[in-house]
Amino acid sequence: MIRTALAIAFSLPASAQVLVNGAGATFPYPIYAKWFDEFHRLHPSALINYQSVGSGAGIRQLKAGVLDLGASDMPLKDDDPAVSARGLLHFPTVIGGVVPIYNIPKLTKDIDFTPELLAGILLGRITRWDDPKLIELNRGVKLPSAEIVVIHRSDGSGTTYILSDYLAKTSSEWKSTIGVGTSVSWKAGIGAKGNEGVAGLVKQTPFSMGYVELVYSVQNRLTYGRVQNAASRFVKADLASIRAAASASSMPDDFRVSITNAAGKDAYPIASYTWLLTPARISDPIKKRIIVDFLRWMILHGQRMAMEVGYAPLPEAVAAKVLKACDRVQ
Amino acid sequence: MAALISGWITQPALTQSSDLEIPFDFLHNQIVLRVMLNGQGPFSFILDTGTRGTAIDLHLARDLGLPLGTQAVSQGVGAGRSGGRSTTFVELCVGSIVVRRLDAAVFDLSGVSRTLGRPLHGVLGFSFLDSRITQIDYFTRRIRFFAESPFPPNVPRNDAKAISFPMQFRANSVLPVLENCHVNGMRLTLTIDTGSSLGLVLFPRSIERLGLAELARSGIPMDAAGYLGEARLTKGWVKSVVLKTIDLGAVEVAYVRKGYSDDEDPERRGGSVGNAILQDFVLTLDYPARLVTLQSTAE
Repeated sequence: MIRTALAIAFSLPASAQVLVNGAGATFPYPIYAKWFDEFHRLHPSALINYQSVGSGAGIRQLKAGVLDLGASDMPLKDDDPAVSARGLLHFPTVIGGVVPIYNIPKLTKDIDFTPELLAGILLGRITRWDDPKLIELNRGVKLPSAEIVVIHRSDGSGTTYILSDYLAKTSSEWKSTIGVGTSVSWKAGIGAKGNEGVAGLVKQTPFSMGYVELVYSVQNRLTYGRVQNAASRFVKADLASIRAAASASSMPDDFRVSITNAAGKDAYPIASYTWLLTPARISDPIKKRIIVDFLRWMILHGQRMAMEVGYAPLPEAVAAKVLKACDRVQ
Repeated sequence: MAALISGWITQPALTQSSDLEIPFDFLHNQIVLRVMLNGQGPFSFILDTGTRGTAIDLHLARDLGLPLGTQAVSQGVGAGRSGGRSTTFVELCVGSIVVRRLDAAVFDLSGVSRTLGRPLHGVLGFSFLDSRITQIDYFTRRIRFFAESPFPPNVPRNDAKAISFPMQFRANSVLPVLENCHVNGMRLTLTIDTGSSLGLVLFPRSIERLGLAELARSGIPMDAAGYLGEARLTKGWVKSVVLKTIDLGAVEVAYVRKGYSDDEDPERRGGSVGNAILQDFVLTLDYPARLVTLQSTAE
């Protein structure tokens, strides 16, 4: 890596700084911000400028040719023109979990959610915390007599994609009425922008509920519940249960995989890889070098940092595969 | 990073202006343009609707050997008033736009540079924009300059995705005012501030009127870097923001304390809308016709 760094430094005039523009997912932003800062500290001539605008906007900007690097929690499909025409490559970076967060004053116990209950709340069919179905599942939890204020994403969101992907696999009602996507037609609630917006609004709104990536819940000291997995167990999201979801799934060569509702009794069911997206061919040789060097550095050095922030690092076999795949960038 | 630098009101002599599209970098929610000064550069300049004149960094002014003139008082975000110096460029170029004999203010911009992560060399403000039709396309990161309005005349643009409104100013401010905004259902006047990296900024009287004083006090502390130093804010979220007919939903808000800026007269504006919100729009500032248009690019 040291030799690579020197190559970047030597290829640029002493005073020049090359800007690599990236944008997209807010889900991995806490670790991306640290990575890009650290990479810039190590390579002052390379600045990766990342805007956490949501996966939907990031993908659109990447397709429009505005960005050098996109970020998404939703893998693009085969029939997406960006994949077939521009040959966009997916590089998984870390694994995270989408957790149901809530703000119920004085509540000390975790709430359990089945997919049907989650879907019911988000569809606006279950509107109160003391709904009989919630009470029945959560015996011993003192649920308040209050309306549920649903907070969802207002922007095109990979976090929404992961949640809707899980619910479409587990709730026929959700699959038929809402479906899967970065933007869905919400039946209830208030829209907020980004994971940070949902977390912030839940934090300041009593009796509200939303969904965010685990790190946002921890950083904002928000309570989050356990979710029923494919083995019918209620699992709380943490690094171990998120890694268990990844371990239960095999990784294809193009890295596009869904690990929601993964098999395995310890697997957290709303887990997902998140990806950096790059064109297969990058015409600017310096930018190409920076992006490839960053991807390699992210695997060799960044994975340790991911765990410190609260993301599950890539399984070793996947990390090795990503390292090898860096050669695909032309 | 909202700013207002007053004092240098000289209208630049325009020698060339035609339809032109130039890229910009969007760094930490700031519009950063490449600008040539006296044939040297490129240098990084922020485009700021809240700055009256053109400003240049003190260190660059010295490096370029620009004459430093009299001291002048400036206003802006930060710890209060500060003394700047005046200077004059022989030539300033933005793409193919050339401005000659441009008066400018000289400030130490190193604090803002640290926030940006790269040197900030100056600010283009009202004196640069005032004679132009400028379109800021945040999505494609392009700025377009038009000789004539890009919109057909007399076409109302007030729906869920686009609004237009007369460009008005209050008192000594050069920030375009947007009336008929609603925050949590309460009507407020906001300004359009492309020099602000924040989203919605609320000023003290608006915070009181909206009943958000306690949330503002207990909000997440944050720092804002201005031309005059740093200012302390708190961060939170409001449930509903509507800009005329465009419903933004819940929005991150920066609660301003007294002393944030000397342009915070609550009678003039309840708050401002900065780049964290504007980045979802194409903003067209038609200064000659005094018309502002916002077109949403969100999904």
